[in-house]
This record gives sequence, C-alpha cells and structure tokens, in this order.
Amino acid sequence: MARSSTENMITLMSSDGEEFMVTEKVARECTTIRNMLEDDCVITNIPLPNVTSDILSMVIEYCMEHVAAAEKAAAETAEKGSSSAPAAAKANKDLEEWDKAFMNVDVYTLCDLILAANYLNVSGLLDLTIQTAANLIKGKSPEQIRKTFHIQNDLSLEEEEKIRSQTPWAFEKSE
Amino acid sequence: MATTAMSCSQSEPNQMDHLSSLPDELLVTILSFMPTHIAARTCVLSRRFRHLWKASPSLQFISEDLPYENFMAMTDHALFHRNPSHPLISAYRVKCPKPILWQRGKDLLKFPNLKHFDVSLCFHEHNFEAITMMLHNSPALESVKLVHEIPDFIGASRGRKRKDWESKLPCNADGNYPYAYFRNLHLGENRKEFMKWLGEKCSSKRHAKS
Repeated sequence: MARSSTENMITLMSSDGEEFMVTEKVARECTTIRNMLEDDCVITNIPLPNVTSDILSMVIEYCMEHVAAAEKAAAETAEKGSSSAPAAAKANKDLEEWDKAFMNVDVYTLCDLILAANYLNVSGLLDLTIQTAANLIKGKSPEQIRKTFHIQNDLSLEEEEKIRSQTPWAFEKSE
Repeated sequence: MATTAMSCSQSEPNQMDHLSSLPDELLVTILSFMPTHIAARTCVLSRRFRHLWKASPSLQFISEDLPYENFMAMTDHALFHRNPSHPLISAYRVKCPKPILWQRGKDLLKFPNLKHFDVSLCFHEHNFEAITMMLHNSPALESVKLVHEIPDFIGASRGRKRKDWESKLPCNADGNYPYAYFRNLHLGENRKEFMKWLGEKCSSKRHAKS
C-alpha cells in the first residue's frame, strides 16, 4: 500500500478485527464510506462489521487498481494536454484484462464479493461481480447451474415437471 | 472431495449454497443481466428461485435464440406474469420480428418507470401508433433506440412484397432507408419534439389512408 504523507489515511476494520490502512482516495471509491466521510470529515477509523478481512482486502485491491488507473490517465492527460485515443483505449483494455483476472475466483468468494460490493456500494465492482455471476448462469442447464452454485433443489420431481411445462421455451437446448 | 455435488440431498458444510444467501434484490439484479429466456430457466433451480425471474427490472427478448412459437410464448408469458410488486422495468431490450408487444391489451403497455427502450423490428404504420402510445405513457424514459428491420420470414409467409413494407415507412431527412430510419435516438431535451414528430407522423398516416 503506497503511503503518501500528504494524503489522509483511513483505517478500515473488517468483521474479524483486521485493520486495513488505505488512502482516503481509495476509501472514497466505496460510496458508503464516501458518504460517511462527507457527513463527518474527521472520521479516520471505520468498522465494517459486514465484511471479512479476506473479502475486504480484495475490495481494497480492486479500488486501488482502479484509482491508480484513473490517476495514470489523468496524469497523461495533464502531461500532453489531451489524452491520445489509442493510449486511453489501451489503458481501458488493460484495466478490463485486470478485472477479468480479478474475477478468477470460486463461487463462494464471488457471492461474498457481490455482498461486499453492494454493502460498500462500489458500483464498478458490483457490476463486474454481477456480470460474472450472470455469465456463470448463461449457457447452462438448470442441473449445471445447481452444480456450479451448489444449490439445493427442494422441489419434488412432480413440481419440477409442472414448472417446466409452464415455460417450455426456457428449456430449449439452444443458448 | 468424494461426495458429488449432484446428489442434492447431501450437503457438505463447505459446499454451502452461497448464491441463495444473497438477498432477492441482488439475485434479481443478476437475472436482469441476461436474456429473459435464460433468466426464466432459473425457475426450477429451487423454491427460492421459482418466481424470482418475474421480478427482473429488465426484459431482453432475443428472437434469434428461439424458434418462432417459443419466442411468442415467452414474450406473452414474461409480459403477463410479471411480479406485480416489482412493476419497474428500467431496461427493456427487445429484438422481435413482430409487434407482439402491443398487439394484445394496449392497457397493459404502461410502464411508468421505463427508462431504456431498445427495439429492433419492422415499423409499419400500425406499430408506429402503438409505439407512440407506449412512449407517451412512459414519462421516465431516458433513452430510446429504434432500429427498423425488414422481417424476411413474416413478409414471405404473408405473401407481402418487401416494397409494401417499405412504402409504409415514414421517410427520414435523407430519404427512405430500407433498413433504418432512425437509430440511436436519445431523447432527453428533444423529448417533446420527438413526441410531437411521432404524433404527426401517425396522424398524417391516418389522414392519408382515409
């Protein structure tokens, strides 16, 4: 975590008591925290009872990466007067690649990340995780979806048959 | 792990169903990120998922993915079985071969919270009136995208010539484009003018006919 003496540091505390020191800029990526900071600007220690340390460290990693990318883009724009389109496109693509690699997690972590992104209100991360979950559902049969997410089927065979018969178009083989 | 995840009566502690631990609101958001016929597939996953897809704020009908009969059944089902406590359709992406959306019960086509409307179909006179009515009843609209497409198979099956369809299209400023006469039409400030223009187009069509 790069520390700059000129920036305010904020301590985020996970549900299991671990403390994470981040710059105010990174913390502000979370709308929930930004609102807290705006309501009371002297706050420096924020307990997050809904987020575990391993998930919080991932959320912070995401926010830092995105803050760094935004800062880099801003610096380049300031340097050259205007941002060059190919460079900006490349930076965007790099960030997309980073997001994609970041989403290489198991379904449990993914679900926890969705909850954390929703609670902390990190819209970019929420979109990314929701899209990833949606992609895991697309192109799969109900059986495969259940297996992927370990969903307990509490419907009886008869019930399932009945439900299927109401929307047969949803169970066509085609994608 | 020796136990297979397939046997649904067994559950290892570390094979907890995390997805179902998400609140409905987030599950519905996940379902809104996919075409309607795929979201609907989740109705047999478990009791929890039974009706969730009907609360999705987004409908995406994609005709290419389904046989015609199934497509019609899907749009009917999805429009008429929506969860009434979640009436908001904030995004509405439609790609359909026929104006199915407003053929049945025009009263049902009031989506007061509709924000995004994106439709590809063949706009002939009839559709045009219906679409105007729909847009008038959607005060929250932020963006509209209408792409005109010539539906090959419908035209063919009814023995219509392509020219007939085209002749019913209003011209845009550049003349009568066979495949698109307005695209990426973002309302916003021009909303009023757009509505007026649509209204005029429809009434002039009616006058011309009588």
